[in-house]
Amino acid sequence: MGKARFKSRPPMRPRVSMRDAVRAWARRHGYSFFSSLGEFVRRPVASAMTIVVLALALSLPLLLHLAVSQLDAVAGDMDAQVTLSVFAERELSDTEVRRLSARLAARPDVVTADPISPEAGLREALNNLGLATALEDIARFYEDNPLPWVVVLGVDPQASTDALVAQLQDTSGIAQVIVDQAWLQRFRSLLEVGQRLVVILSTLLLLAVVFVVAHAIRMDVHQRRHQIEVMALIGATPGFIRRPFLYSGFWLGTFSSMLAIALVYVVIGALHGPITALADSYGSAFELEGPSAATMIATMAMMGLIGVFGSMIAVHQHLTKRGLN
Amino acid sequence: MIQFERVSKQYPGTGLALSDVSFSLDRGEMVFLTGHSGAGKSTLLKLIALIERPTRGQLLFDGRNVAQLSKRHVPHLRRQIGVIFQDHRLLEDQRVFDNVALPLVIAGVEYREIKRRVRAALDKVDLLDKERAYPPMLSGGQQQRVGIARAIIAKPAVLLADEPTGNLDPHLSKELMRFFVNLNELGMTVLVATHDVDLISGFDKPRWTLAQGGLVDGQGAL
Repeated sequence: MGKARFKSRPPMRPRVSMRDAVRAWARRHGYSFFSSLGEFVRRPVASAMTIVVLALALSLPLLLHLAVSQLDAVAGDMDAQVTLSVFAERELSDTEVRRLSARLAARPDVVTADPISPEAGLREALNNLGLATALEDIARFYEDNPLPWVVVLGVDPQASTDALVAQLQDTSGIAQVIVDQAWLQRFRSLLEVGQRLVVILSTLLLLAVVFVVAHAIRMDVHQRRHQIEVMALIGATPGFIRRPFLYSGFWLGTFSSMLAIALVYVVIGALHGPITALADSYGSAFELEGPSAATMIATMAMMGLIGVFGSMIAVHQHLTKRGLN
Repeated sequence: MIQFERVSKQYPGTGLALSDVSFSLDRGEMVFLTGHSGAGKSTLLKLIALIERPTRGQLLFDGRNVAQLSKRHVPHLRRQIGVIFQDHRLLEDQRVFDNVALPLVIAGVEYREIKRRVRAALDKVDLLDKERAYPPMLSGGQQQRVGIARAIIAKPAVLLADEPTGNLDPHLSKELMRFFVNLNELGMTVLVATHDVDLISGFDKPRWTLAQGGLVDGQGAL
């Protein structure tokens, strides 16, 4: 086609004022808007099934994203609070250790100093291993407690940890200084894996959503092919024919993201107890929170757009095949 | 209004459906197009509405050659043509009201105005009490009238009817033809394709006859 394209005003279009044209355009949009919603009401089961599938698929990366981003925030807080484990020399008496601890606490770059006796250390270690009841036996087995006194130092976030460590290592009475950051680094690497996983999962999911929507709309188009043909015969433009389907895609995306967000809240509710218990065991008040308003809006907007895109693919294919495009 | 200049139409893989047809249908004129089935009546109507494109020749609508009109502009041409199909082509899952309203919805007419005009059109075809019915609930004749109401509601310049009396009894057929004559008297250009020669013999309107893809007689033929 296109041998005789008309560059100027289309030859068949009646002359109308700008105002009337805009109004007519708005009315046509209104019609598409409401007729697309009407289709949902007309076929509730088919629409609901598609929406549930999309919501289930979406809730997984959404949850993972929430967990990873919130754990990341926690890790950030921990970064500020570096702790050092200062191992006292075994020869030191209890009073000497307490004096050392008091001296360390007086330093300007130390916030807290917490001496832990060998007995307390052993008890804690066994507790963590789930062997609390074995305490008596082990105490008998080792006549001497193998653990040294330890002073746990909370370091001022403003101060240089490295300088402090160097000075401590030169101090008499101190055998060893350990910076308790290795696990934090491991934790952070794990979070990075999680973040990457969110990106990969989301990408795969979004592709799936495009195709699920395209498929749903394709069925819809097929069911209404007769209507499409009649509309074209009485002068509907391809745009007008396409629009209700694009809206349908938009609704599929938006409604399914709303359901997914609701699902996420259900899952968070179910996980609340165990997560609080787990966080407690680490001495953290961490709680998994629901998505922020910005996340919810972004999710809905993105899913809406993806819905439109998926339905575009389906409708375009049909109209082109029928020579209506 | 509509002018064919040596128009031919060949469907892929078959013979010529129309060959070298020329005629001129003037504004405000009414013509019966007759011929046996397969003579090319439907093809001729489809060409006017650009449902099919001519293989050769010129097709003038309102003085412009639209034979190669770009697809983009076809919908606007169709809005100036009301077409009544032999098989009604109604949307079965939509009420009579919505079926008739469709051309106005497409044109973006205001809802209050749509309501008023749909009522008026349904009144004209005597179906006002059926506006909330679905087409399958209606008889063949009633469905045909819904199709007519839809074809005339946007006040098209031209009305094309393809075997509109195909499923009607002689009495209703006659009434329908009188209805078309009425529309024509109100200024609409009307082209009715029918094989029923007896039916149209009582009307004082020009008759063109198609046979084997060619226009064989009629005063309007060039």
